[in-house]
Amino acid sequence: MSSPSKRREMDVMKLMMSDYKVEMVNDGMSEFYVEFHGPRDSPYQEGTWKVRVELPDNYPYKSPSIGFVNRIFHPNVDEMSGSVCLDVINQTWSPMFDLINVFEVFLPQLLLYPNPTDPLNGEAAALMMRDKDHYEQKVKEYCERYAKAEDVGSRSEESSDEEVSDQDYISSEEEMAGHADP
Amino acid sequence: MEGTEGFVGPNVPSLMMTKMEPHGDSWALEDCKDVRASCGEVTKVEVDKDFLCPICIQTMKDVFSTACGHSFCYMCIMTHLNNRNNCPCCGLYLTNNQLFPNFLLNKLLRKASACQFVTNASPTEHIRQALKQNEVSVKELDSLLLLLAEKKHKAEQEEAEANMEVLLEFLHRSRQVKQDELNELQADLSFLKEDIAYVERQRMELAKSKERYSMKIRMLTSGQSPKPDRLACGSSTMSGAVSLFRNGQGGASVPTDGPRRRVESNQRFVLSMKQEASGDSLDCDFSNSVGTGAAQTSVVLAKKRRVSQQFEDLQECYLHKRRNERRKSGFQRQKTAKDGTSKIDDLCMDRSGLEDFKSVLTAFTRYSKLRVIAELRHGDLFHSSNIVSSSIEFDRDDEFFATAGVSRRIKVFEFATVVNELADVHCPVVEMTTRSKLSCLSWNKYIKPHIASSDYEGIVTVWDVNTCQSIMEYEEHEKRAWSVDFSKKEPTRLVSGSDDGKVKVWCTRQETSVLNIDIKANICCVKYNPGSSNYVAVGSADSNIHYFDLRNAQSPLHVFHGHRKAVSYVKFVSPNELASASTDSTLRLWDVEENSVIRTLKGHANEKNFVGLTVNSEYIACGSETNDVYVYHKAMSKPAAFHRFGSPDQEDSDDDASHFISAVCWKSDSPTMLAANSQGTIKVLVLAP
Repeated sequence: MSSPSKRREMDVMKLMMSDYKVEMVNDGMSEFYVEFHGPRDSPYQEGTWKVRVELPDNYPYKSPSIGFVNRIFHPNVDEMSGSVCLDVINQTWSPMFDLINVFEVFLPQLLLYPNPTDPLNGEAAALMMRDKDHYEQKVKEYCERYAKAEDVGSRSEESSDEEVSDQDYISSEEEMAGHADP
Repeated sequence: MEGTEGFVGPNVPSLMMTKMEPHGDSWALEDCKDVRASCGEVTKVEVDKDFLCPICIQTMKDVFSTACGHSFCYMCIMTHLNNRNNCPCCGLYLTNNQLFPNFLLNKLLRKASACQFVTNASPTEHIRQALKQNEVSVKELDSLLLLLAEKKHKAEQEEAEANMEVLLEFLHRSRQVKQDELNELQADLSFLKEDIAYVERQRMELAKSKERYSMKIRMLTSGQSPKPDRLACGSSTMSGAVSLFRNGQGGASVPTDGPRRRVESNQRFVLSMKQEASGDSLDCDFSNSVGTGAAQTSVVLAKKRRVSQQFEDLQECYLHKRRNERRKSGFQRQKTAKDGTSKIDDLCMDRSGLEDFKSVLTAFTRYSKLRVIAELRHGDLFHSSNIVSSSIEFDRDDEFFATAGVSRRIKVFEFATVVNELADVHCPVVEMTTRSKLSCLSWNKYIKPHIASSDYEGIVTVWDVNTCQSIMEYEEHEKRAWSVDFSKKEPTRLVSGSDDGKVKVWCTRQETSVLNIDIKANICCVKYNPGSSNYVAVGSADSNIHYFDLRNAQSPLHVFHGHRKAVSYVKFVSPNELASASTDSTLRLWDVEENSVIRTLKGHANEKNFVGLTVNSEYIACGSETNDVYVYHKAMSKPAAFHRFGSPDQEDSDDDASHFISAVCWKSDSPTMLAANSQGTIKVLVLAP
């Protein structure tokens, strides 16, 4: 075997080097979080999700486990736990894929073309089959409610303005003056 | 990985071996040459992506190809086939049977990677590779070992040397630092010893002369009334003047109780010496009687207490002065040594530092609090939180004072009346209504009835208080004008600063500004240097003080940094000392000759408002957002005295917290000052012991 661990490290590095925000859970490079945006031209396009990726020991021979941290409405994603149906991943997985592939090809494909034959979210699967429009609407609702940028925990910088403008001096005086004039 | 050496090919490393030892197969060399030629300019790490196995993403090793045409490392594809029976690339059904070695590809890859190795690997890697792959005789190994041992020894030695050098330098430096500290301490101790000896000598002299005088007086009056005893005894150093003294700020009963007081601190003797030697109007009582002696001690004790409270600061001040003048006298001596002509009186020279400190100490311990001697209330007590007086100033002769503020009125009061007549409400002598709220006042230092004001609309007005008319109105500022100041040297010049970032110099004879400086930051205060009308200090909201020479106003002479927030006031203590106040709750004293900060004064609270700043030649007073007036001695960084404003007819103390002192003004060099707060109350305070 030629250094499987090297493959793992290289893949994570490559993911970090590209535009994805990666957050490691431990130093072992086996578990981490990635910020994932919904694919364009799909009802998921406004959403931002925090995706948990777990690489098994025999990666890349075995596919990684994918889970959505914040809620998503999708036939192949368990609504409560957020984990993606493993079979679905495994069926399409090849050791040739790397993590970039997962986030650029695999996940978007999954979101765009769910597999209703193996659903983890029966309601979603049924709705999709029955009433596509209603399904899309519900997807958007969920995006609005659970998949905003803040839910993913993206930090915004706070600007502190230290300058004391003379307005400060005045405000107190003016306020006091204000009382005087009846 | 070494195990799978099923496909041995030519070994490039032998090329390296030729450098060290003439060894290696000639065919290997030739192969290398071939490889070199074929590689061409493959110098950098850029491995062709095609060489990589799709599974492990490294150069393929032991290449096996599938029936569907894809190639992988043997181990990689075998591991994959354990899990799945398809091709990782195309997904076609695949088993072991459809797998075949690809010798040519393998060889090519090995050549390519070898080539890469040659160009990229470090010498150690080459050596390692060579040793692994070649046969080396024991003799050669021995010599190699020797070489390695030698290299190692050398490297270790160098490292040890480097470490030692670093350590040695550190130790030297440490020693130097400690030595310097020791020298400084010794110098300080020698100062103290000298000064103690000097002061002791003086005390002896004083005692002796006192004896002489008291004897003389006894002889003259044949010892009848005790009164003559109470007459002050001047010593020979006071040129024999005998004067009557009030009991008050003195405390020099030292001579009588000499032996008893020997244990007391240097500072107290210094105090008495100062009073004795300078012959100013400070009160001394050299009485022999124990009664008055006891009364004296309480004052003295109070002073001692104050001294010990700020001991650190005083010590710092003393050492600073002594070190400085020792330095200066050192230069002086050098200079005259060269001349050889002038004689320096050593005794004289070395005393100036001590004298300086004496005066500081005296001034510091002279007063301990502020006493109210008069109080002015503004008319309506019902609207008490609206009459912020932004400025209060004495006129040229300290006879009148004017107040102005957000109430749009300039009121001029007569100082003597306010102090001497007790009345609930004092009436101003003159009252002028202005168009807008006023921010600052400045009396003309030459023409008594003229006073300048700056207002919230940016207009600078010069008034004549005798006629209650405005003489000049300057309307050039575009935003609120915060500060205006008449020059002390030039009767017609005044300067103003505004929120529009401009400093404008005016002449009372013309309507347009004489000079216009744009500092591009809000200006909170401007002040002429009392020594010359060419220098103006400008305090700005950018926390800097810009010091300009008006003859060359394109850029400031110096910009004083240090305050952390906007500079609200600048006032000159002397022609080369500038005091500034800022909303970072500090005052700073700057030397405008040396362009440095002398001291930072802390103790009051000022984070937001204009609380007032006023200076005379010794003391600096400012207001505080805690409704207190603080007085600092310019040589000490902690307050010397403070006064709580608080009005008697308020129920809750919360009210007090929301008020602040808004303006203060010293009555020139006297211990009297005016203070106004945001309720409109004006008090006349005086420093008291």
